Amino acid sequence: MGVDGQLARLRRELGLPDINVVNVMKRYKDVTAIDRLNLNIRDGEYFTLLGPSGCGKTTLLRAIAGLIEPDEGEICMGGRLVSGLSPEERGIGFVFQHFEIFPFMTVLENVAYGPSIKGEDPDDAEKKVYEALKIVKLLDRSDAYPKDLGASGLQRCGIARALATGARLLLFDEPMGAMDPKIKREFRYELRKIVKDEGLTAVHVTHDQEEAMVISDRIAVMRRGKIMQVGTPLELYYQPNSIFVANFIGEIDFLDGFCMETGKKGCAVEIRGELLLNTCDQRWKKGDRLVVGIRRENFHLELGKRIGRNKLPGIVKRSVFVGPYVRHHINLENGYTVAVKEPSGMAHSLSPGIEVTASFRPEDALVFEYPENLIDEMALD
Amino acid sequence: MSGDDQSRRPLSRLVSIERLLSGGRFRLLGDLLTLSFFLIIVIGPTVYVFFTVLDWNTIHTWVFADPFTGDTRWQMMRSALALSFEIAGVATIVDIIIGLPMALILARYQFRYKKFVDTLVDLPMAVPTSALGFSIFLFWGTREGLAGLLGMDSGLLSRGPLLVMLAHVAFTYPYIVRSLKAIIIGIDETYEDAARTLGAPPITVFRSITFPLMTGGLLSGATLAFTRSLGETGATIILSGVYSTAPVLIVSWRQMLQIPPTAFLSMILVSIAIILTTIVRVVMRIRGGTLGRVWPRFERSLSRPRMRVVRDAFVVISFALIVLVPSVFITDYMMARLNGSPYTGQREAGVIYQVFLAPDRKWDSLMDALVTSLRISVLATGINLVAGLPMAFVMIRRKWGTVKSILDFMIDIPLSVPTAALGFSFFLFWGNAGLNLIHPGFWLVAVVHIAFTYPYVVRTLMAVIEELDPGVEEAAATLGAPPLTVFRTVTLPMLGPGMLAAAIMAFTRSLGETGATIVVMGLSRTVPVLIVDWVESLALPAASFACVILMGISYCLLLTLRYILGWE
Amino acid sequence: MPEVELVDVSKSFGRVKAIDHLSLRVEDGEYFTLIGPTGQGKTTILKLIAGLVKPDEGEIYINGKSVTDLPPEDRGVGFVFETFSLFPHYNVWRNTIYGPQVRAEDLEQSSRVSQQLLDMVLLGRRTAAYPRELSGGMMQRLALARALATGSKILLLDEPFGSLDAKIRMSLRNEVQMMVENLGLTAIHVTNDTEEAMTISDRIGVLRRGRIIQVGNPEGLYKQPKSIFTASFLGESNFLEGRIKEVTRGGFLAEVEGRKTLSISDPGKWKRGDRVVLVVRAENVAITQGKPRRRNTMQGIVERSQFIQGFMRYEIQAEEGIDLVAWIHTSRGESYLRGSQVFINLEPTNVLVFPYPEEGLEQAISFE
Repeated sequence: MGVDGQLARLRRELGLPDINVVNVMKRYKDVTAIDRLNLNIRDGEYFTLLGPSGCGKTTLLRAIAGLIEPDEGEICMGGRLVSGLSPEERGIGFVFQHFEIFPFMTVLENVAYGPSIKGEDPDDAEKKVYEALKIVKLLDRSDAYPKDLGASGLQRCGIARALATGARLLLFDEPMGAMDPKIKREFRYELRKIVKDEGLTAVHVTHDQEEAMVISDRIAVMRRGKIMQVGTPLELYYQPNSIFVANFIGEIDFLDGFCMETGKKGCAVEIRGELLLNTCDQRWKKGDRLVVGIRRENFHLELGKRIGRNKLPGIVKRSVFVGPYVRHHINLENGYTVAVKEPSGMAHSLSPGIEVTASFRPEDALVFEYPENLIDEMALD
Repeated sequence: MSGDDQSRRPLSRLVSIERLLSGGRFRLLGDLLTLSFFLIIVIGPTVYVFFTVLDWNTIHTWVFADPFTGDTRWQMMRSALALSFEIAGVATIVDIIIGLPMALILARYQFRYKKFVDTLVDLPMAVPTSALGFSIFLFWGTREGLAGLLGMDSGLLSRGPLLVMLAHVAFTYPYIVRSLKAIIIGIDETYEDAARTLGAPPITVFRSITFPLMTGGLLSGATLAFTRSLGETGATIILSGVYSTAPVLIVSWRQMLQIPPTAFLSMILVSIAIILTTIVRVVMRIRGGTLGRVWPRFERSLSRPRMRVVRDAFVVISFALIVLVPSVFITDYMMARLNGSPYTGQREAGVIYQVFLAPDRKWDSLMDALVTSLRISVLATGINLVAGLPMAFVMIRRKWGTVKSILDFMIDIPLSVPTAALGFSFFLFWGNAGLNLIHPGFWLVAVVHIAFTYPYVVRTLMAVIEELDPGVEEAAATLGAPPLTVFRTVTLPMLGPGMLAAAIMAFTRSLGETGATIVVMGLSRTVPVLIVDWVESLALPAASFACVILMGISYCLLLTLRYILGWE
Repeated sequence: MPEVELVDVSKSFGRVKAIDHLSLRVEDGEYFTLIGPTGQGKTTILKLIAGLVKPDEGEIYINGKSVTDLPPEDRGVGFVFETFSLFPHYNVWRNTIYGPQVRAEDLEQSSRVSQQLLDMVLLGRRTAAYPRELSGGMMQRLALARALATGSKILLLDEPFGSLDAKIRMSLRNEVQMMVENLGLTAIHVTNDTEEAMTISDRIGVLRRGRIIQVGNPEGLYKQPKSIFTASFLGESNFLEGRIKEVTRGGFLAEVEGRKTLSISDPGKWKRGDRVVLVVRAENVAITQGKPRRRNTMQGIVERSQFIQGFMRYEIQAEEGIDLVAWIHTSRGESYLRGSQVFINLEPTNVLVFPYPEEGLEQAISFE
């Protein structure tokens, strides 16, 4: 790591934010794409904007890049106001979903484009280009034309091209959107490695929550133009602040009911079928209408019907083998359905119709206030 | 952050100039220049003829109340207009009937010589219309053609509306097939796949799915063909005999220096063109297609493989007979007459004698005319590329809302106005009745050619620019390039083939134009006009020679165009 | 009686042989999925079954009858296209009723069936809407209803969820699977998303370069892949190249990456000196803090870790330069920190063994 990387680390430790988005709003005709957003992205961070299609994440990214001008609000980078600056003046690198590689230039010429525009010293430029190609592992294909490259090759070229400009901030717009799932899963790790090894800051847009969880330092979950929650992957996963976020990330089952009693540890929720669920959430009082969410891998299965707190008896509908884990779909006695995920090595072998009981620990229960419109809260758009 | 780094490095000089010129004020200036060119050089003179109507009294006298002929001129106008419309209407309908299946075949099927057939279909467009007219006249109207093969003494058809109609069917055929083919290709084939898996036989698929999705394209293609036919002069002059279509009337009155009625008729034609264009635009906004009643069993039988063979045969035969053969028959005629008449053996009736050896020095006139034609076409094409490219960008990229729709509509006007009327309006605008700057002769012809090829260039470029993925330009911007640099280093290279295509289209169109040229040429001659002259003076072998030369040039250009497009 | 069968079918496009002497049987009522890299023949197979493409060789049977010469409109299969291909000039109702109409079926009956299907896919109240007004998920549902309105018992799906958000894809595929089950249909589904395939299929066929290399149920395919490609295609695995040092009872000892010796249980017939590839699924790599008293233990350092929904994914650099990926189940996100020293253990029975492929390992698992 060179001086720049060390500098970046220093700034991070001092907590100096690198990108500030302040009260930014953008409207298209009668649709508000982004609605007074505020966001701080730290230097050297791998930050992801995650959300369903149409939530405004791409609009926000493009506003940061300067490809769109917000109607209201400001954007600052490194303490400098960049609103009003065109993309070529912001010193960013942008990687597109559909690559946008110049078709009439070779890989080398594509990557050299940025430095050549700046009129750099040819030797410096050549070194930069070489470095960039080495980082993305495309050195042996520098004379190839885009039409001879596959999706991952084209994207590497796009990344190299952005790197060669010397930009310290990389913006990724669904960079793996056009790739096969298998290649996508391998490319993610490489992408993060490149950003981290070079000490860069990255803002990444995706609708794939698994991708976001794997690749990010922090994630902002967006929906319909607003930011729902910002946090590390673990924070979002185990402490979601809304049903939408809990549902959007990972797999979860919801059971709704009323707070029956409050104790020192947390409240107990009664759900349909007079089943009582202990939780560790102390925010509620008796009579509150609540929704309890349990991550599917946090269910434990026992054979036969058991009665007790946090025990949900039911019948196996079907079991699906999904490789590293098995998903059992259970029809609960009280009419609800849940799915239980067990690692394959430890999974029960269950045929449809067998009686089982799904249970969970109180500390694994996520409790939310019952929303006005539960269906809308649980919707994935 | 990187901003500091950038300012420390020296910028390449060219890029820094481009950065400067990309600024808002320069862009505004550029837009203004582009629009001014369009309004002053192209549109203004086209509609100028309306102003002459201000002198209503003169017009009224000449047209309706002439002391000697009464309202004869008005009657002549009416019948000429009626004839023009009739011919255009029938030609368009016939073209649709024989052209639609051809468009389907070219759009959907793959077969061995497809590119070759594709190019053949374009042939009538490459042939200058006077040459085409001459060829058709020979084929259908004299014993040298089809009649001779059938053992008849004189031609099958005599000069008149029917012959004109055949010519019009031939040269508007490529327009219809091309626009339909583009539309059909644009319709996602999977719609048709989906319909078939749902149980619809091919003809039902066409009727209920493909055709409704095509109606917009069909309408614009038909309108293009219709207005092209309405305005055609060259072939019509040769073939119409004693009848007159409107453009022919303009030409003859102009030659007799009867200005006021010419102005009036021109004005009528320009108005018609504008009205037609407007109607089409309005109609295009209406949705198309309903399933209607379904007759699946009947259509099922029509879709059987045997029927397909019948349909294909129909397409090929009609294409060959009506479009292809007459267009090229002229070469055969010329070859037969190289050294003399095949009947009498007279040397004086041979091509070589008439062109090279006769005392009136036809070869010299031909060379002069060729030089003039080429100079004008190159000039018109070149200027239009420079002025039309920014216009095409403005139309596709700027977000000007209603202004753009108005401009879009106006661009089509020089295209739809019959060139004779266009020429006449220019004659008035730039000449004595207007600015008094340019008089009949080379430069007036050049200016007119610029005007009517402008829409070709702009429209072709618009189509190419629309295809251009804006993402690549965005990528260049994020890499640090100001807009003008993006244009030079990324957009232009990707536009290259498209620009060449636009240039060739404009060039060929200009090369073959007759109507407007006759009206404004003064003493200059272009080759198409020369052909008309020679046909009228019955120097047919010489005329055929000139035709073949002109056709050869045009066809070579067209082949080049195909070759370029083949890259994509 | 099998519902759909392809017998020795071949198809070339120009010089490219897309399908190469392929035979396939899909049973009545089965949910069958075809997986494989993009562009290697999956869609072509669907089009062959539907009749949109004619085979160069071979026969296609539906319900025991040869349909090879039947045009698509007479085959009676429902097709859901990758891009939905909803007729843009017809509204929801007209799209759905199109099939019955062109087949001149009893309109009253068809209307009832169509309305039922639309209700089932939650579009019952939106019959007047046009495709452009619908969201991606709704368009998908409409495509489904349209394909089924004709009463076809066979449903072909060509990457139907490809253009949808990841999360929506997950919920839709369950809906489709349930619908197929409830209506008693036979489904043939093409996808390159292996998780999707595993979740909804009764059986899966792996297609590579125009050939089917293995067919089986999800568990069978995952636990007993017949080729390295199939092993690598499903899930995440570690590939270790090795040579057999000594044959033991029930297995052998192999020297891996030229250095480490591992004890493997495998019923195959091996000889000393054989070159092999050992495939270990990431979830079968065990990690402990203290040294376990078991065979096949290595020491290593955690290089990177990521949290993936209840699993921690570790990239570990083990001794002697062996890199391994491990998936460890976690319930509260507890994990080993970067740089931690850990012990890795491989259970001898949890290792898949393959002979070293002729074309080299990289080629054997390549996607091209």
